Order: sequence, then structure tokens, then C-alpha cells
Amino acid sequence: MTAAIDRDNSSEVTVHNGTDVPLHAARDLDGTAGTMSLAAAGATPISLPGAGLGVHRLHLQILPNGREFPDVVSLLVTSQEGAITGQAFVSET
Amino acid sequence: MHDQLNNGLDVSDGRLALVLSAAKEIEPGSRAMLLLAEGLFRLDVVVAEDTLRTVLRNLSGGAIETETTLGTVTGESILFGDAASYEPGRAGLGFTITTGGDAVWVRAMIATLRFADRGTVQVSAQAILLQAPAAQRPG
Repeated sequence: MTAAIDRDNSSEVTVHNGTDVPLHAARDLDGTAGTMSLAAAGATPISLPGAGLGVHRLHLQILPNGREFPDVVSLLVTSQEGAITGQAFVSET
Repeated sequence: MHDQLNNGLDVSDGRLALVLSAAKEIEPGSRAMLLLAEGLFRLDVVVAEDTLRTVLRNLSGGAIETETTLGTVTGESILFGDAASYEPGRAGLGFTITTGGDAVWVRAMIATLRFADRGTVQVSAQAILLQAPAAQRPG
């Protein structure tokens, strides 16, 4: 996972899927839940808003996909005014 | 509102498995629910100075047996740039819930980040719940 911060303090998090299989993830961005796919051997950008003051939170739960990716990964990202932090948990199933 | 993500996991031998993850940003001294497994358990946390206290509430009606060996998960902390200012910390928690003829293993990892400018601590967790193999369930 990489992150870039723009001049307006908006930020973009990019999740790089280094496996040869697509991965599926549950997503919660600032309290709005959904799902997303991470293309095999690809990069998936996720934009975090920069407008307005406040903290923005991204929570991803990436699910296993066979032998190629037997792990569960939770990514938790917090951004505020040009600063961004992230934590990750990895568990083998 | 409790922002927790829950998902079922496919386990090769067909046992039930679930992943829960969540994060809460709390003020030191306050208590917050971090993880909730309906009908099984609720995990609360309290941050006081440099101590993380966990409170495990049994919602199962059965018995919970905790493991002490996971209390201090060892490993590497890799910090870049100003990351040290967030004082990252982590802990582990393991327990088994036994109800009737079934048992569930729970392994949780908890991590903290201190946001000094906001005067808060973010506590995050991921838990894997796995049904015990038939041979290890109570008779």
C-alpha cells in the first residue's frame, strides 16, 4: 500500500495486489461500507477526500483467495490535513 | 455507530470461520467497544497512559478460557520518518469459547497509534474466529 498527498490535502491510497489472482475486499470509507476488487498483479487507487477539516478513515478487509493468497489482511488508514497513517494486520487462515 | 467489518472465511475442512476488524479513536481513560461477535463476545478497550487494558465480555452463555501466552506478541516494528511520534504499540489476545458441544477459537491482534495533536489514541484490531475441529469439541 502506498499513499500520496495532494496540495489540497486530499490523499490517494493505492493498494498493490502482488498476486496472480484477483482479491476481494470489504471497504469502509468514512462510515460508508461497500466492497471492492483488487485486480491481479495490479494497483487499485482509492481517493480520500481532502476538502474540509476533519479526519478521514479508510478500512479495508482483504479476503483470502486460495493458495495464492491464504491470508486475511486488514488495512486501517487515517488521514488529516496532509498527514496520513496506516496500520495493517495479517493473519493466515 | 460501530464501524466493524465482518466476513466469513472459507476453510478447507469446512469449519466455520470469520474475520472481524475495526478501529476506534478514543481519548485516554475512556472505554470503547472495539470488537463485537454477536452471541459470542464483546471486546472493550481502555487506554490509560501507556497501558492498554482489554475487557472481554462473554455473550455466549458458555465458558471462556483465555490464553496468557499471546499477551505480548513479539515481532518487528518498522518505523519510517516521523512514525515513531505515533508511538505504535501492539498486543495479542487468544481465547476459546465453549458452548454446549461446540467450541470456537479466537485469535485477536490489537494495535495502537497515539495522535498527540488530537489527544487521542487509535486502537485497531483484527480477530479470527475458527470453529474447533470436531475431535477437540466438548463431548
